[in-house]
Amino acid sequence: LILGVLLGSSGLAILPGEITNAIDPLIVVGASWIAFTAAIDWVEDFRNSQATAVVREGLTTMLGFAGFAAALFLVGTCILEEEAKASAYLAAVAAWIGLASPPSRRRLRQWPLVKLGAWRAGGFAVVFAGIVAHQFISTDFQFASGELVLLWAVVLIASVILGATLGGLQRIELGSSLQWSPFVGSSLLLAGVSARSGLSPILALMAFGGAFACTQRELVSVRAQVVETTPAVLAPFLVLIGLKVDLRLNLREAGVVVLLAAGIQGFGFLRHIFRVRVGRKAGVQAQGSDRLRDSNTMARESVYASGGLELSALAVLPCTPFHEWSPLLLLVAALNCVLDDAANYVGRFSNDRENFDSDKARVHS
Amino acid sequence: MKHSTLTRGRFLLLLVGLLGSGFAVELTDLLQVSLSAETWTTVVSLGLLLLGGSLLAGVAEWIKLPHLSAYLVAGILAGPHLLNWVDTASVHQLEPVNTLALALIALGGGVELRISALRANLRSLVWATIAQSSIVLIAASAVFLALQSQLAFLREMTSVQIAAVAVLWGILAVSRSPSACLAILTQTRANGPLAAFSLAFIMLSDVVVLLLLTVALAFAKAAFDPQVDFAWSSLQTLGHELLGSVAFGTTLGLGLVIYLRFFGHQLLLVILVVGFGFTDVLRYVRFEPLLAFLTAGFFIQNFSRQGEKLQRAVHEAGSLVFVAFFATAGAHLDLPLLYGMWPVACALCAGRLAATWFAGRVAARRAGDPEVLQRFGWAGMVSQAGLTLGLSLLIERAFPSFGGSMRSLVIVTVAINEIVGPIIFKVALDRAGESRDAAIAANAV
Repeated sequence: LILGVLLGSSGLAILPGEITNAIDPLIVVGASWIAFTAAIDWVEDFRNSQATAVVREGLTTMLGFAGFAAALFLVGTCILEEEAKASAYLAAVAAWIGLASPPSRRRLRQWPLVKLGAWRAGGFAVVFAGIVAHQFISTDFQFASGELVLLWAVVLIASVILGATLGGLQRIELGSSLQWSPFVGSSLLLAGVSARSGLSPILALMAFGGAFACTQRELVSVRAQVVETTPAVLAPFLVLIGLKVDLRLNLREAGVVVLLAAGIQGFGFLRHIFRVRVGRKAGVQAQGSDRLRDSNTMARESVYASGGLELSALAVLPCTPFHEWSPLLLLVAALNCVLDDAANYVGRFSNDRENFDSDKARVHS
Repeated sequence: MKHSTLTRGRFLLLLVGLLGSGFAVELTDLLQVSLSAETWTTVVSLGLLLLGGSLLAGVAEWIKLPHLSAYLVAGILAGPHLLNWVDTASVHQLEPVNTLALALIALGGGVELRISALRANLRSLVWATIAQSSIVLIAASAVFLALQSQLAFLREMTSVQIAAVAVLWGILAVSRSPSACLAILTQTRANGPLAAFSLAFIMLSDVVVLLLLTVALAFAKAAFDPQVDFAWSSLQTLGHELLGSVAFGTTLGLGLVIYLRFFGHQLLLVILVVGFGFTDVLRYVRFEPLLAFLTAGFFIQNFSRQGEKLQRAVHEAGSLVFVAFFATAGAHLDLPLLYGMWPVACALCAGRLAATWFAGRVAARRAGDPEVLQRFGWAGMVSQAGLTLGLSLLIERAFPSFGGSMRSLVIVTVAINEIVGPIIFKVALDRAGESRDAAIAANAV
């Protein structure tokens, strides 16, 4: 991210504006890949005897967030008179950034009731709910626009069918050895088609990845191959995001969004303390399979630790209305990620970091 | 039995994927809900070409055709002249894929070249270079001269000028396609004297063609403008270019060796950075990227122990990049132009094919090559692709008055050679028993 900012128009301006505008498709490629990986992870968690916890945590987080964001949006619309919708929208997305940011997701992970597996489901659910909410806000709540909703439905169903067919063929023909070209081709195709129709490519790729993963018998092996390539996708993606970040934006608005996002993170922290206490009182011990933990390779962790999912969702916002806010939101999300990473290095001895390092060591060993 | 089931499965997926996605593409156009179509069309196009190419490859394998032909067909079908799912603007926007592919092809080609194999084939390579460069050049020029009445752009020229253009055409006929050769070898996993000889010859012939074209361009300029003498400075520039490319490639190879030795992970990312980043740097300093990457790969294979690592990474990345590269080339084919010029183009291609076959036989006999090279040594030299088109662009820039028309003719002949050449080479590898399938069948017997 920092390298991208340095190279971009906000830094040394080595790369001119035309080039940074021409890289949107590459950002979509990276974002779609991250969404696809996240969907595979979610299916794997679901399979690893965590199904109930995954569903419970996923649903509660999603509904909780959806209710919270909707309340923010509605209250914002009622209180503010001019440009009410845009301001309320900004508040809702700021809340989403706060809840979907890496620190919040790590706190979800520490909840003793669902310590393993479901933390990712929580993060996944927040991102998913955020994208769906944004999708409906972007239609100006005109649900009667049947053609558009129908088109989205067609694209989502096509994603599921293509994912399942490709997955089935992969399973019959190649077993656990992944064939890249049809796989990458389908991902790009769906990402492009969904973006053209105004549907978030992240949603389409989540559907595609979920259907693909459901058809796999040896999902761990297939996912390992997908994960191997993740750094090769994630590194250019983050640099490209850095290039798109514009530091010359209105800092007052950015400050408001950052404060709100930080407030939500604080709320998440309180929620975490409360739940830890409840969990301890109930005497529930963490449960989970070593297999799941061991399969958490560094590359996979890095997607979550660096806020890849959240950034990817924000990076594709320009394909939808309210795009005038997307540079600001991207700036806030990028700041969030960089500050969080910096804080992790400074507070290396914090519990979060210890858990994270122990996972790394376990994987490494 | 299993094979046919798999092919049926692939075919089903092909239908589902392509029809479904085509439907979706059409639907978005129909409803005009696209919010920023230009940005995403490139992504859709690349996805269509990758999916279509790789799935058609399964069908091609069933009828014993090379994958490369399937990629081309996928591109032609989806391209602007048939289904128009990939429009002309998208084809142009996909040019960065070609940059990466050419870097990868050259790097992979260099890694495949072993000094031991070159030494073993030295006599064959020297004779093949002499015979192919001279016989094909003369024969192709002669066919071109014989067809001059059919070529409108020659009508205003003097006989000396026509002869100069014919020589330029002959040199273009001498050029081959390293990418097609490497793609076929990657697909068939061929191993044997024919595979080793073809790869080594085609990679080395690139340098010969560059040299020949530079000299011929200097003479041709003098033929078209009497005030221009033969410019020795152009040879000096070529020397700079060749030596500079080799030096740059060696340095790049050394850097990659250090990386592979001490880090060695995330090679895909490294290849992406090297392919995109260094190609532009090389073009900026006016070096030849193909030669530089070839040298880098050659250096890594022959002067370090890291060749295997790089070879594996290039193969993995190549499986994806080749599909995109050739499918884009298919979409790039100008079908109306091909339709309009096919009789002349077919005659030129037939002449080149016959000359290549004859030169191959002569060279193999003079060098005392084994039977397999005498029979099939010429087969890998029929394909033409990006290199020939690049050279025709140089001619167009040097001679704007007729270069455009000549380039159109080059595009048509390259299209034919691009389709026919890989098929001939694969059949030859199969019949020589060097492809993996042929080897498995022989072992079974």
